[in-house]
Amino acid sequence: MKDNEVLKLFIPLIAIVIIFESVMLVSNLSGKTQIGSKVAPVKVNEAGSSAQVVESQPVALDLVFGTNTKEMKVGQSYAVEVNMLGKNDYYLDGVDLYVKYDPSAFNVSGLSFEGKLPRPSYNKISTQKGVIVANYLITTPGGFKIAKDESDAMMKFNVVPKKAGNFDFEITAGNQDKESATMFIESSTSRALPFSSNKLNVQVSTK
Amino acid sequence: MMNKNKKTLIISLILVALGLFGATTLVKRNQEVRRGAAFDKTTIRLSETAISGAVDSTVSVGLFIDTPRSVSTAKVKLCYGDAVTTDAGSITNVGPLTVENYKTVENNCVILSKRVDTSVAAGNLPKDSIQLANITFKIKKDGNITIDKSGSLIAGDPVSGSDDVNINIDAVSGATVKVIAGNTDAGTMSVESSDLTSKKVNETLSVKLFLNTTQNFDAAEAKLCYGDKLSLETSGIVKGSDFTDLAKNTISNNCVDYAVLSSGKTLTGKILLGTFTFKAIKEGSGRLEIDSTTADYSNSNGLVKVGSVTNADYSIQTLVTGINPILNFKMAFAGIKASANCANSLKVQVIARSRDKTTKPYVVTAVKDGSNSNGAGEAIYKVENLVLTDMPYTDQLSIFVKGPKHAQMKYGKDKQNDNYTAADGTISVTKDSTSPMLDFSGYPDLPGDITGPTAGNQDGWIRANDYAYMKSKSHETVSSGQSIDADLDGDCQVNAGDSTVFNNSLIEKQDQLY
Repeated sequence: MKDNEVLKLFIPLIAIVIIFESVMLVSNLSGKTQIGSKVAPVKVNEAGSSAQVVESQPVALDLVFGTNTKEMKVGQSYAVEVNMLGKNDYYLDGVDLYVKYDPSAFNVSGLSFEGKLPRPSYNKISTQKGVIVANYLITTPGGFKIAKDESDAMMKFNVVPKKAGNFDFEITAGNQDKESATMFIESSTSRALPFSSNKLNVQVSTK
Repeated sequence: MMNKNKKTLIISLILVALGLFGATTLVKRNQEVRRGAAFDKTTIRLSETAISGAVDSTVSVGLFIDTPRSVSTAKVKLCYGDAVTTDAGSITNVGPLTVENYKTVENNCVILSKRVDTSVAAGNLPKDSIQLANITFKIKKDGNITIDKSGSLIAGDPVSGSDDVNINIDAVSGATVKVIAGNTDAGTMSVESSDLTSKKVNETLSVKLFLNTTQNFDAAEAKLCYGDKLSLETSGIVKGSDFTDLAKNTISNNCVDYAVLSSGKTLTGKILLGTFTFKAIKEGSGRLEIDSTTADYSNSNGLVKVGSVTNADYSIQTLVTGINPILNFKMAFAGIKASANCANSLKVQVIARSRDKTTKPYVVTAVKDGSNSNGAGEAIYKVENLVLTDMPYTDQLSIFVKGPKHAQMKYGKDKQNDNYTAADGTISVTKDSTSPMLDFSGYPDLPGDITGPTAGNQDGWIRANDYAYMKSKSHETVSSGQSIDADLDGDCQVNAGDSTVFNNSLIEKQDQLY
């Protein structure tokens, strides 16, 4: 008897709560817009051994050099790769990747693209400027997905040291004129995503 | 007692079920509205809901489909009794359904059947507001123009999970026809300027368009033609301050189709419809001419043809020469074919550089040179009589040219057809009418610098953000004579052709840089 009294009050109350919740849900749906509209342009601090993104926006992805050894010998060939690691789920419409190196210290060859990212529309090893270039244009509607904690090989190349010394390979954010600026363009905003990258410091010896 | 409790329980459960049903319906409806974007149902309509005019006066109305669905084919039947007359020659084919299957005019009805070109991919089919035609009627008596829903048919891309290509027509909207007294009180539309004879080449000419009528009106439109001595861009068009909306400003073939609306305000007397700032591009005489068949205005009672128009003759004066170098050149923009309809004139930045490294910037309009093309079929554009103010030299010049969505190109010699790498140019010009017409059309300006860190502002580079910006504008379409910044080939739509042009451009520019 008492239970029935409770039911009499409780069930209509649930009905009212459900209606109220649904109205609130509809209001929220129409209010959510401009996802990622405040994504900041990439600004990479070139000083120091590890490049840092200097915007308050969270880093969207890391670029990491991979090689078997950082201690190389003149005249021997070594494979180097550049990997992209997603810090969250993002969709990309285009990527410009520029890797700077010292052409007087290395012969670079065998540029290849074996990752999931579509093959770049343009790629070149520029000995004249000491830059490895890859421009990826993603034609797929919606863009290319880079998932959180997922890694993808963006490019691989072989290096043969020409002289002894201490040398860097690094992802460039562009010179003063913004030439050779690496950028990852998000599909939904058409804006550059903040990223971080490390330098590959190589010690080359003659023996 | 037990029964009463059961009843209460049942009523309560019904309330819960209603609540759940209501919630589901509300959420679903909201999502459908978002998916529907501009239109949530399919309607066939005329551009005017009421037209009026003197007996035998003509009125042009647009025929439209509004739909959220992608449309490939449409057949529309509209009937008009004896209120108006028309004929097949008065039906102009416009809009994205470019192929006219047939049009018939019989038994006081028009049947128009159209489809998209077979080359249009399913993903590129038009939707939202689709214009099919402009139809010119001659007013005869009071009556109605009605769209016959049962005699009309629309087909397109099936919705997901269905094979049905037919699109249900939810509503039709015709127009009432009202005969008004003759043209005695229909007003005058005039074009006026105080500078009609004083302007020189490269100077600007400001022209005002007025409507003077004792009738009330809240909208007006006209086609204003200006000849080949003047050029006009949409940025040079400013609506009159009495109007809230610039409804039309389409530039094509040295004419501008212009329309303005005033929301919530009725106007009368001599009213400024708009101001047009032209650039004088050639010496000689011309006429600013209002096409009287298009000049009309309207209010809630319908459309009124203007009674008369007043045109204006102008003359552009001979260029003052002998003081500064004069630069004339022909050029092309990679990917823009001579047949392109949405790139009739392009604003270009020109930098002249002399042998002592003096650089002077200029902005000028490059105008399409008829149907002339270069060896690749790309349209030739001309820049004539650009006065290189403050440039002290006439020889050893190099010229840097940058289009509105293009990279900067360096031209160091006449008839250049590849990248010019020397520091100093070899171009010579004069300070008078003997200055040569240089030909840079063999080495077209490369498109691709569309945007930068700030959307829509060029940053000097062709790169991934330009491509993403262009991709974000995919399928945007404009009418002939208008332009979209991401439409690189000037075919009035952002599509795969622009992607190809961008790709080619990127490869060529990167090869130059690296």
